[in-house]
Amino acid sequence: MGKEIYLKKMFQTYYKSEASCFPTYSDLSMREFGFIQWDQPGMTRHKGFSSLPPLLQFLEKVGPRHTYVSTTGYSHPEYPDMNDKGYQFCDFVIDIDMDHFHTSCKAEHDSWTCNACYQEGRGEKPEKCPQCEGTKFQDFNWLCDTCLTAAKQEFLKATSLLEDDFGIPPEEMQYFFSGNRGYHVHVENTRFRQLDGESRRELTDYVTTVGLSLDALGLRSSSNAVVGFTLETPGWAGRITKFIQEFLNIATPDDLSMKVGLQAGVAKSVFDNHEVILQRIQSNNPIWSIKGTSIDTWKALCAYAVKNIFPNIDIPVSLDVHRLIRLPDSLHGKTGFRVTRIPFEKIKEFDPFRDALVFGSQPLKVKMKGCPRFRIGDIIYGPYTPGEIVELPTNAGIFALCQGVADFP
Amino acid sequence: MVSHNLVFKYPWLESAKKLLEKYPQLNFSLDDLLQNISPVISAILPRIKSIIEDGLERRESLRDYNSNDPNNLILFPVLKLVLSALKERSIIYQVANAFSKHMKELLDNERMQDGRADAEKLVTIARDIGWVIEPSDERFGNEIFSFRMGFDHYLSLSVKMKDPNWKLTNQKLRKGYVYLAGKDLTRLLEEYCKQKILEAGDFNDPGLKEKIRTSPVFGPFITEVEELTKGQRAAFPMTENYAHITQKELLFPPCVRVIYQKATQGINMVHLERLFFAFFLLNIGYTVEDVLDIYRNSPDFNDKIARYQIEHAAGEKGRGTKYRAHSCDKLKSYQLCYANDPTYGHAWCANTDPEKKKLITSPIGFVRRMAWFLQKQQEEASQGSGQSAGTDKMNPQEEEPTEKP
Repeated sequence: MGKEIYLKKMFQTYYKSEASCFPTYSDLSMREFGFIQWDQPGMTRHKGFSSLPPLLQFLEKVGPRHTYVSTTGYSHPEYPDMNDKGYQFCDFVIDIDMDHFHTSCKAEHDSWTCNACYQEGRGEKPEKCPQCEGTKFQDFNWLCDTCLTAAKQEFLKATSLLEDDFGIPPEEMQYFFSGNRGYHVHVENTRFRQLDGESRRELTDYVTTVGLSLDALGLRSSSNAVVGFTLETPGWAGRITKFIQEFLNIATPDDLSMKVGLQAGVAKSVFDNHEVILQRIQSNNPIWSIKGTSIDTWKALCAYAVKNIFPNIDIPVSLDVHRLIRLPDSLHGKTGFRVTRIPFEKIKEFDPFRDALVFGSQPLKVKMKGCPRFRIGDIIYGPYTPGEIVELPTNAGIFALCQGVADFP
Repeated sequence: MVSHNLVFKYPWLESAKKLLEKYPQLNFSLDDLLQNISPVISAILPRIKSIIEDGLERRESLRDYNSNDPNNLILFPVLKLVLSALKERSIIYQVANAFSKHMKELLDNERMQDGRADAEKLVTIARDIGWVIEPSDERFGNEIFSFRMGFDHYLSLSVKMKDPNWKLTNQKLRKGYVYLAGKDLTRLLEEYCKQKILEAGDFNDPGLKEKIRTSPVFGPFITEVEELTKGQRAAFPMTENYAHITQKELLFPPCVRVIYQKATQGINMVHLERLFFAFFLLNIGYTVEDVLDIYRNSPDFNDKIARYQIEHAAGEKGRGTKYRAHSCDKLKSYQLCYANDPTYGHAWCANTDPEKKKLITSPIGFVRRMAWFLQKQQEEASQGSGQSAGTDKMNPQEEEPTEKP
């Protein structure tokens, strides 16, 4: 049996056995659906379903490789022309995708090959090939605990911001593991749904600190004193202050020089006086000036704070009002993992390599093409060399087949 | 509940529509309004003319506005009706500016006996237009915030004010509320009022527009108003440096075209736009007087201030430093880059030109490249090469001049 036929059959089996437990998707009849199938090129989109049963029947019948749903509600989601669909609202969605930020593990498990000169390298693909300056590559991206833990950190930053700053109650946010390299937050809140394009951009700018101005936030020099922010100040000002508090608690003079970029003398002044500063921050005293520092010192510390605390999100996903995102509970064709709903109280303990698995542990014999190690459940597999024939539990075997690092012998 | 007197004073409030029903002498059908001259309309037309004159003269206070007059209930919609029928859109901006600034002045004077701002009254006004707002007595650092407002209502107006101080990123935002000082709230109400008047510019019914312009009540009045505006707009000068270019707008990169559009339509520029536009024009060979002429269309133009700033930018005042136009990076930070804008964007700036070799890094670089490109087109056309002057016939990057740092 061919790999695609097998995977399609397994996906169909999943939908047949599990779909009856799927909760319905809000405003389902107003959503556009899109599918990528195993045996057809391109995406089939502009599909609409009047209710959950016909959607589930479709999933059972087709067993799609990838399944998407619009974040937008339309009067006629099935119309092929976007202008005719009749835009009604758009949910605010945050997508954390590890493709969009750097993690140290990528140097270990990612690699690239230049399409022009076949030069190879490890880690993230470069902008230009160091050999021929070509700009097109075949890249191999892997995922590991380190990547998905980093993605979860960004996810937690984003969710706490939505809750603390925008006041969205947890019950109006839905949290998902994307099934592959990230997490999604869906905000189904009326105030967000009605925002126009400009306001949506402002909202996204807020989340990503675009346009942040320390002057506008209130950092200033006044009568030879530097006036900063307090822990109580809402928004980014308070968040920056909290970071500075935590950072100064542990920072060494070297950290202040190397990480923040302060001159050695200034770094020493900050370090020597850090207890005074911390005391002021703790007592919500906005006067930050100390001997040997200037407003530039505080600007540098604030800039360092911002760099560390803003969530790395995939900006176009939040801005786009015609976006298709992965359907909750569907399967991801690159991993065989479920796009998994995560209850709010379980976010921290959620383990994608354990909690997003849907296939069992029946043995599956596959021929590996070579890949780094990976974890499924509690077991670590690999690394595997090309040509190696191994018997894996179905979950692990399907993961390897979907990733394209294995085939049937 | 908002009082009648407050609605007379601020006739752009939502309650004005309901209140009109209680004043049958002011409650006209559209046909009645257009066909029959009533004593009320006869009385308010001179006041509307005065308001339009105030706008054209860039006043920040209206000379003939009686805050206690119930006729304001009909004055406001009639003002919008007249503005919507005018041919020159820039008048709407100028009038909206003057009217809304006058409203801010009135709002700033809503004070209690002890001189403090009447927070309760301001909240009543803001709630009347549907805002989620509450009084607050929060103090963060050394600042006091008297109000907190739902972020969605805040955004609906702050997006119109391209200034870092209004950007949501720089606000005190907690649990869905933006914390505001009193002066910020009155500024937002001013902007709301301005947007209500600007709605007249979005009015898009040519049939009705014609009906208003030919109505016996408003036709002659509109002609009279349009007479007032003749000779208002300054011609856009060409410079020696790029005198060979006849399509002047084509020289401008997207960021400048947006501001140029505002300048010629009489829309207020924010401070950052004004500075950048002046630096840019002065750097491509415009004189101080040329720049001043363009700025004269701005509703809040003040000759003394503008002249001082432009002379300073040109290096004729202060330390004698002539300021360079901003780089693209700086414009992006200021949210003034429109490289990808569907209306104003340009492939050279957006880096989507299939022939591209070098990215535009400054607006002046764009002008140089475009001047060179247009000149080549002119030369080819005059040599009768048979090629079209269209941009697809040559590669503008092929032998372009180097962009100076």
